Amino acid sequence: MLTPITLPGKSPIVPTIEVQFYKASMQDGMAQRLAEIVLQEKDHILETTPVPKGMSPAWLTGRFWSYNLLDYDHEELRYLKTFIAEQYGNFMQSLDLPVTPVYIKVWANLLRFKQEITWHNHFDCVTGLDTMDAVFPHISGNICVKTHGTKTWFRSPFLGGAGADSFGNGKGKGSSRFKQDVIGIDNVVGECLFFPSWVIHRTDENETTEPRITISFDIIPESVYLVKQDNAIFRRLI
Amino acid sequence: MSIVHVNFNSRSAFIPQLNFKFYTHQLDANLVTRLNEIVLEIKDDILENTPPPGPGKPLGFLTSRLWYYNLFDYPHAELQELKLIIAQQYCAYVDAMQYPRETVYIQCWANLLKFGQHINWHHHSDAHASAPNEYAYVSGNLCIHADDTKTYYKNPCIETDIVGLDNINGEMMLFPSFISHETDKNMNQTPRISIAFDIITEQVYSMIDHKNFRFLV
Repeated sequence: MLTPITLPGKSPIVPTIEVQFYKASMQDGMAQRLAEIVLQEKDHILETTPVPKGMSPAWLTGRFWSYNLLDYDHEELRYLKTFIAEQYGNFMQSLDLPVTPVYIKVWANLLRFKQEITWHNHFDCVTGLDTMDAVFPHISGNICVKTHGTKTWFRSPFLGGAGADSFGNGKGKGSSRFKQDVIGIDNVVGECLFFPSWVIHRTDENETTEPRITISFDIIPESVYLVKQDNAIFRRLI
Repeated sequence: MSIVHVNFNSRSAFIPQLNFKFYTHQLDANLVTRLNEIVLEIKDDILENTPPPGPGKPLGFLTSRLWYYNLFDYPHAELQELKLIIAQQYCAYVDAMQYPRETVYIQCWANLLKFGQHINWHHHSDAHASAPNEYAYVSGNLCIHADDTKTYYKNPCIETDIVGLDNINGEMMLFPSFISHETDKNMNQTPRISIAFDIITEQVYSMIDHKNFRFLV
């Protein structure tokens, strides 16, 4: 389902921008099985991928540069790939855009009590982008497989970009006592949300002792895949 | 006056094509010379009468004092002349953009970059006053003295998509406060001097606690 999101400005100088998101739901029970697979494979991911500089060795999201979840041999992950491909096609068709060959990278996120993912976007979903390539980022998405009353928050790029500047603590509060104007979308178990890769977003803090588990992905067009030397982690989706 | 089109092109159906209009105005050379002298004359007074920056930051870095003074509080006639020019150019800018003229306030400060120094990526959405970013308005800079440097502006959606504009002595540039920008390193022995400012609406002025702004127009 096409889901337009309006990211507002409150000054004549700050543009209000409308962005097309897309929501789709997986078959019943699939989210739980995917959550079990993430819990089953997380230790293998942590053991077989390098720890990024400055990150905790236990931080699963930090490993997303180094593996593709679709490489793990599970029927549910094959379903997931098919599901994303179908829904990506539906998303494109709903916008009257052609469905052309694309490639995908998929990774898992596991947030423990009080953990969160701060403001970021996925414009550099292929690492090492130079300026020319940077105009090609495409579609990203996330799938909630085990969440408890959390939201993902999105904000306008015209509130200062994806960096921490003026958002010092990364929560959109920064040095200001004013609450930032952001759009929250409920994390619904089994739901997949597609959005343009440049859109800046963050998660809520996980306020429960149960891990919050999501699966994220970046989809890039073949034009980007072919020009990148570090494309080995992407898999053909369509 | 002239409009400078800063365009960030898109090759994807999912990235907005962004076209921002900046506004330039060339100041009289004699006034610019005097402003250069004034900044050099008062810089030590600014450094002595404002709190030093936090640990690890150079004591002599003039830009880090911007929160604690307003250049228009100095009594020099040329600064009042500059303030009047900014007011006029602000009006011309919003008229050209077909935005409503507002009652606005201004904070103004000086930048002096010595050899090897530069100003890193930042934006002025909160007007250096912890104002809410959604109300970002107009900022500007006036190049007083620079040798072969640029100021770079970043696509708000794509951080590596950058446009560089030459710093022309005597040229004042007005631009949307939310656009991140940085300067080149000054690779000359002569200091690179500029004057920068944030303009906020009366609505924002009424919101903020630290009212280091002066009525502009």
